[in-house]
Amino acid sequence: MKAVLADRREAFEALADRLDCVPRIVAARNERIGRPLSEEELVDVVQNTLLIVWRKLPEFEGRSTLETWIYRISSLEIMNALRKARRRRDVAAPPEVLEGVADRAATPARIEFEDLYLGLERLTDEERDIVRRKHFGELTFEAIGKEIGLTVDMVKSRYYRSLAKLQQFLASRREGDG
Amino acid sequence: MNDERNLDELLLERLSSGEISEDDPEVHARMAVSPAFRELVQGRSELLSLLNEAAREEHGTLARAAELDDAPGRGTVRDSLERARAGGAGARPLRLAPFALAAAALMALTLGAMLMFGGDDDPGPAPGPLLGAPLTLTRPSGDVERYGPFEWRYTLPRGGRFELVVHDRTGDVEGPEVFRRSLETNRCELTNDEELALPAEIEWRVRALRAGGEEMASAVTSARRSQD
Repeated sequence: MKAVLADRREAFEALADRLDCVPRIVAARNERIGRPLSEEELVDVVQNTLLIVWRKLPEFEGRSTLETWIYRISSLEIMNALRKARRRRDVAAPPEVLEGVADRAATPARIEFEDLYLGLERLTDEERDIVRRKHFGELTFEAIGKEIGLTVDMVKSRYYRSLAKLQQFLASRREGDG
Repeated sequence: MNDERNLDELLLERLSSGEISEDDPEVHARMAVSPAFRELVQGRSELLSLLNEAAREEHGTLARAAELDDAPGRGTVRDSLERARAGGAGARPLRLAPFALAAAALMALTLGAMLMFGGDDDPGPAPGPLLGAPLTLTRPSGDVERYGPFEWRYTLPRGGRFELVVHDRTGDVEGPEVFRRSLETNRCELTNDEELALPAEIEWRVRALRAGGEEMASAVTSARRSQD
């Protein structure tokens, strides 16, 4: 029993070490979009992200690295935090403060990233994997096929199908906004 | 009508793969007569740009994150996980709903079991990187001007190392091993002499190894030096 407990502790420590990247990813993303969130808000985002990561760990199949998976979760959490921050400041802050927050928080391009990530989530695991390897991993169709055990034609056909789905999803989101 | 749609889709596929560009006469001709195709091309082009932009943003953010020594909330990671693991209601963060806490505690037990036992056939105690995250080779791949530096993405556990092995692939047949290096970083620089000694076409593999030498992940890809 002692050995089992010791092993579990070791496993937990390894997980905690790995998830130490969460605050750094959240801070780096905030920095790159112009630091719209305060330190306190970032701590909230970190805790929310950790909870979601924890909850979703059994779904993590290792198709991407842990860091890129966390990046996607934290990006969506940052968008949620920005919306909340804007709402809070709409009520509490004078207009001159609001302007800065609103201007820096969410340009249309960043909203598009959010939609893109939501669209990627709607693809099948295999489709998402192929799109990510192609664009985020910068791999050729041949290399993707080799890594996941499909012919080049199969990879291509799944890739095109995924693009069509994504395109349709983004168009529907735009129509919804309009 | 269906034939026209198929024609549009085939052309769009060739465009998306980079086989033809938007300046191709065939694309121009089709766009001139089909507003639907024009719209499809525009949407596809926007999507590809968005994907590439998102990828750049992701790479940039992760690279920056790796450089940061400290960040808000860093001191709370272990505590948050400890609370979730312990499932102690009195110690939980205020925002945690009871059901979420219970779910987190359940996941903690599941994760603990997964990390400890790794499946029925593998009772090894070493936890290593999380749940078999894959190793992704980022460069070189496909046609390149020079091979070096070799780069990949994967987070090693303490004491782990990478093993990079390059084979000659000239002639589409896996030839002899031409380069090998053991590293602790996700990057392998080549000297000019090492670069020049590599053949016109290569297949390269990276294996991520635990401190004890057990393989945790590996990936392989090929590259061709265009100047050769």
